[in-house]
Amino acid sequence: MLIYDLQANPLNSNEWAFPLTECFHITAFALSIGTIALVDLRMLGLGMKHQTVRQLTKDTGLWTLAGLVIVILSGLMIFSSDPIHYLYNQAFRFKVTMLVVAIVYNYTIHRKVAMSDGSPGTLKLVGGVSLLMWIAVTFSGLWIAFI
Amino acid sequence: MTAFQIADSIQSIGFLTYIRESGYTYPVIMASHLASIAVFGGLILMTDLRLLGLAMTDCSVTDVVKQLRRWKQIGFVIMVTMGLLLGTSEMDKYYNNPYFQFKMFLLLMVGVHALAFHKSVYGNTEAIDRMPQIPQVAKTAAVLSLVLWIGMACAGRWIAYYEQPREGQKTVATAVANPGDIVGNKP
Repeated sequence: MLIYDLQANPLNSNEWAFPLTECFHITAFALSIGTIALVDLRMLGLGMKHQTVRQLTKDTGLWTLAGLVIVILSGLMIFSSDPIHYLYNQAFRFKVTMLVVAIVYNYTIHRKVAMSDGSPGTLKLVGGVSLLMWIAVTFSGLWIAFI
Repeated sequence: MTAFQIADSIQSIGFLTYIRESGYTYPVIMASHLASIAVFGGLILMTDLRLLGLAMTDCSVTDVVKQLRRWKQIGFVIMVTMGLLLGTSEMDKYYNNPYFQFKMFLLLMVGVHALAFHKSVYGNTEAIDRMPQIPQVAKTAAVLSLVLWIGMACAGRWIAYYEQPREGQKTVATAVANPGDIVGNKP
């Protein structure tokens, strides 16, 4: 049987480690979600109109990816501080499901529509859904602490 | 009137008491604070990275700064409003929390930053776009903005981990110093 000593995890034994990891998590989701939101606002016709959706997707792609990598790594670290607690937390389960759906959506439907410069109606729908999904991820992320 | 009394009377205002004692309103406000950091905080980061010449270099500085300005303003208002509701609804807990004080100082510095660099950077983007290279002043503004905003997010997180020294602490220390007192607590 595998016994995991929580106190051996630096996140639980070092006073600074946990909040510092959270700082990385927050900054990285601002970067990843913010860059996606920038494209979504353009898709919705609400900003960055001098550029095409395709150009903005290309320009922000690397930053979105960098943000996602850091946000997932720091998220896994936070998860490791108390895995059982998180696994049985309904908000956490919803968040992870939503996150996986949002990432898959971002790199399939969202990307395809963005790169093909579809009709304004399609762009609005796809951008709006994306924005709502990412907001749901942050909402449920915070909710973990309240249930 | 002491600082504590002032803090206490602020948080006793009707709707702030309601927020503090509610089951769902408080986390909804906090989640909105966080969601606006996600959506709008990223726009701030991208503007700074553009000024540093690291991101969105296909777009002119003017395009990035001017087209994102309205959204950053909207985001700022939502973020600050939600943050103030959170802070003032538990004012007696926060007013002497050094991380809260530092965060408010950084918020003030954001205002100073905006005033200080408006003429040379944010209101001067057409001239910057005509220059062969991004001027040092624009890069300085971008780095300072990154430091201020990331610092703000971190200070916000640390607020939650600060434990107020309590008056009773001394008594506890004395009790522990005398082992006889805690014998009864041994497992």
